[in-house]
Amino acid sequence: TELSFLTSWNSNYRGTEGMAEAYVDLVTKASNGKITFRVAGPETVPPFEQLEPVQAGVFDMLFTHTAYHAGATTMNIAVDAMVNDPARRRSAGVFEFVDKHYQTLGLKLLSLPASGGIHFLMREGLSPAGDFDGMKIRGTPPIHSTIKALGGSPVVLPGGEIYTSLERGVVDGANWPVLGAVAFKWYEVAKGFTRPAIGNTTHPILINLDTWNALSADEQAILAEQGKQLELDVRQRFDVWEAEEEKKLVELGMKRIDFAPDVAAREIKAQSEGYWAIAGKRDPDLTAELYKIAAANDLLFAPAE
Amino acid sequence: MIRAVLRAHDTLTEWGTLLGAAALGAIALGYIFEVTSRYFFNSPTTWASDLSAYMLCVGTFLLVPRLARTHSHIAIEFLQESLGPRSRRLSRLFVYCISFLVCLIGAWISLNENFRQFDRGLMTLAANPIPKWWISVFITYGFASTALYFLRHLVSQAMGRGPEQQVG
Amino acid sequence: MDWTLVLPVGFAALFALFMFGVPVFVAFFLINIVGTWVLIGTRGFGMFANSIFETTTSVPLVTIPLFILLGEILFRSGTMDVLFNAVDKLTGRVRGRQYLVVINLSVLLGALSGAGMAVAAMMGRSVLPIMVSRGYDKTMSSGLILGGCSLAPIIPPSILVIIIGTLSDTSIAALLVAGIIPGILLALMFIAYVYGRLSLRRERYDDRVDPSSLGEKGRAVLQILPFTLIIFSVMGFILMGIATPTEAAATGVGAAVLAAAFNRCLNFAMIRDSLVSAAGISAMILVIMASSKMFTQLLAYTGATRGVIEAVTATSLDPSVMFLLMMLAPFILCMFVDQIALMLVVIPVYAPLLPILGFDPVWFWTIFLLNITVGGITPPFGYALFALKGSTDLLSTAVVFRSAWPVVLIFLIAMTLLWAVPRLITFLPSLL
Ligand code: NA
Ligand code: NA
Repeated sequence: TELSFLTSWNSNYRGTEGMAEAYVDLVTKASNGKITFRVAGPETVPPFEQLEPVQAGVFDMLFTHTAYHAGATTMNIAVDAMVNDPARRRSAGVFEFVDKHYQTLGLKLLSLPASGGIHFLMREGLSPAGDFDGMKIRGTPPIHSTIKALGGSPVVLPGGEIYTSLERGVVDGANWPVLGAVAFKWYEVAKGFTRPAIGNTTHPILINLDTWNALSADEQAILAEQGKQLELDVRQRFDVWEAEEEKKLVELGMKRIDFAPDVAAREIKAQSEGYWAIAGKRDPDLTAELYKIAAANDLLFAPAE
Repeated sequence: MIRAVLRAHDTLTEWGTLLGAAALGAIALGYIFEVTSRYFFNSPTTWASDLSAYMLCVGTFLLVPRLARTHSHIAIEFLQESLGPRSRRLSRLFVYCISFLVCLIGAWISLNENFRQFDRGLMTLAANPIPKWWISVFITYGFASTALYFLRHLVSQAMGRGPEQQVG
Repeated sequence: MDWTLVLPVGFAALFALFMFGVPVFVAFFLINIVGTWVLIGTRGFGMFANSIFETTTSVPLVTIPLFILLGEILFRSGTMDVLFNAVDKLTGRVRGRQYLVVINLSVLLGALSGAGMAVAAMMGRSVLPIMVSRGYDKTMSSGLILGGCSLAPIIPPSILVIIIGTLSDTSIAALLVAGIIPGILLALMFIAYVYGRLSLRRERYDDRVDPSSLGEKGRAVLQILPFTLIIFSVMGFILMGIATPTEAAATGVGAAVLAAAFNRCLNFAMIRDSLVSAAGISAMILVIMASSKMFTQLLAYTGATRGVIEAVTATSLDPSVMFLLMMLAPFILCMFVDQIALMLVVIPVYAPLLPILGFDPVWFWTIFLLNITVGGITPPFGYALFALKGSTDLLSTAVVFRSAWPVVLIFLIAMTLLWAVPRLITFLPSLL
């Protein structure tokens, strides 16, 4: 069986290499080459428009980030605000819950691997108050409330404009997942990166439901089993990669900027609340249910009071 | 009767033109506000960027029919011009026919997508999301109205009056 | 279906439709609809619709209508006449002075305007009649206007740069700044060409002018000042980090309105006409961009994009030979087809090749920009040619066409120079 596999990024994104391509390898090996893949990237379908062709069956599978189809559903954005412990996510029923929700969209969830969270690249450093007080910070919509909680003003900019905007000082900082500042050369224009990183970056691997149902039970078992394996592999692999990247950034002249404990606590709380709030915008009931699961299984970064 | 419909079509296009021009004005004003507000008052907006993206799509497809009406769409016509009158007429018929069909199918595809977006409640990816069909419906309008203009040119050409002449 | 079949068939069908006079956007859409239907089936139509939405809601492309609007306000408000008079006053009593006026004016207009067509039309209406009445050589005058208006897309601001930067994922700010030195270089080469020709062949023109007094010259400088405000609120704002390139286009529009007000040329009708005209011209460009998106997606879907990359990686052609081929193809094709349509199909194919060939993106795309720009004046198809011819009865099409070739040659020499000395392009962006 050959499956066409659409990815939201090219191979130069570490997630593509460490998750999508790693999954292809796992499945190819486990099926003794009986299941093969034809991978297509964002040049085939722009990242924000990728859910539709997979739902329509133009492509069989999709590797993406939940925010890229926030126009269709927001609930799963909350997974980025849940502790990155693959085994516990599975045993608590998070995977099952998210899978069930995707099935209502004509998709089946195969794997929910998560890499490290989000950090801020700072042009100069923090404000005298030790946070973003009076600063302009580029942020994706879910992170806006975090920026505000730290005293900054969120600025809406496409990712492609981060480099120039940091360079010229249009913004004082920008958010991004912890991997990327090396690949995009942001170390050239930002003097520091913030710690702690917040939340995590979850990349669902999805398959068209009809395609899934047409597979044999053996094939289904292999895809599901390797999806579970991938989550564990990714957790370890990205811990290593992220530590390497942090070291590399310091070597390249960037400074690790640690928030003071009280600022960090504010940051984590705002991230958690902000993500859950955005998740609940489209799907309030589902999100409330998912929140209960997360709370009961100690998967929250910062429980609401 | 048909004349009244055609007149209404032209009026709609004229209103669309003014609305599209206003959309461009809104983009300029929105960004000037954003830059002023961000640079001088340190309070960036979250809507200026969304607004400009929406208005680009809206403005473009409000103007596309007018371009078809006034024969202003970019085409490479030097070969056609070099033909004799009879062949030139035939080739124009062919071009109008193709253009009409393509825009009609485009409108149909886009309309289906509008309905899908409406049924599934799809929103735009933005700091302040809005229903996607609010914007994409203008694509359908642009295709449909443009198709009608190409049809008008086709009929006019076929009846030997040459392409409908209109002052832009 | 194999890409080695799809690629040539797709391109051939597209160019056949172009040559037949089918509107460019219709040609793309036709290929897209048929291509989607044949390669994917009707379930691919959602992709078709969304590719249009994606392109026309892309924030960097908002710069296109804004730059066009900036130019429209300047040209429609009559402030350009002020600029023309000032340049005329400031250009001294030198040999072939009217040629120099054209070149000086071109550099200034280039720094104010994002596209060359309006510049060509404006000079065809204002400068050309003066030159002809004074007995300047028509062909030479026409050629210099064509060359001069070709500076507009090269000296920032530039719509072509926005398109190249967006499609190739290159820093738009760097690409804009990179055009400054090549633009000035071309202007200098035009001057050299003027004096080279004047020394070879004596022209009988009336070069007398009333000498302008120091006071008049001072007033002329004052008149130019509002225009520097426009240049500042575009490039200055970008460089100072006040605005992104897209936003700077909008602040440039604001400054143009202020400049019009300063010259007492501001009124509602002018603003409305500028908005309508700019919205129309940008719709013309954007609908083509929207239509070409799915075409490049289909090329990627069939594996053509990856196939070409692998094929180029496999051939061990010398990078210089590859460079020559990659420039030659658009140069030839631009004689016959629309520059923008051509860019839209070529850039997505070229962009992934650059790292493989080891080309600096800013260097490569700037030379590519010159190549595409000169496509606007290579006969028989070129917007600048049509704009100039359309603006005046003083020139026959044959003269306009003939006059372009020396300028094309100058462009080719400049491109060779920039190829040989990359620092001419990369120096200014490296200061950013
Ligand atoms: Na320019
Ligand atoms: Na040409």
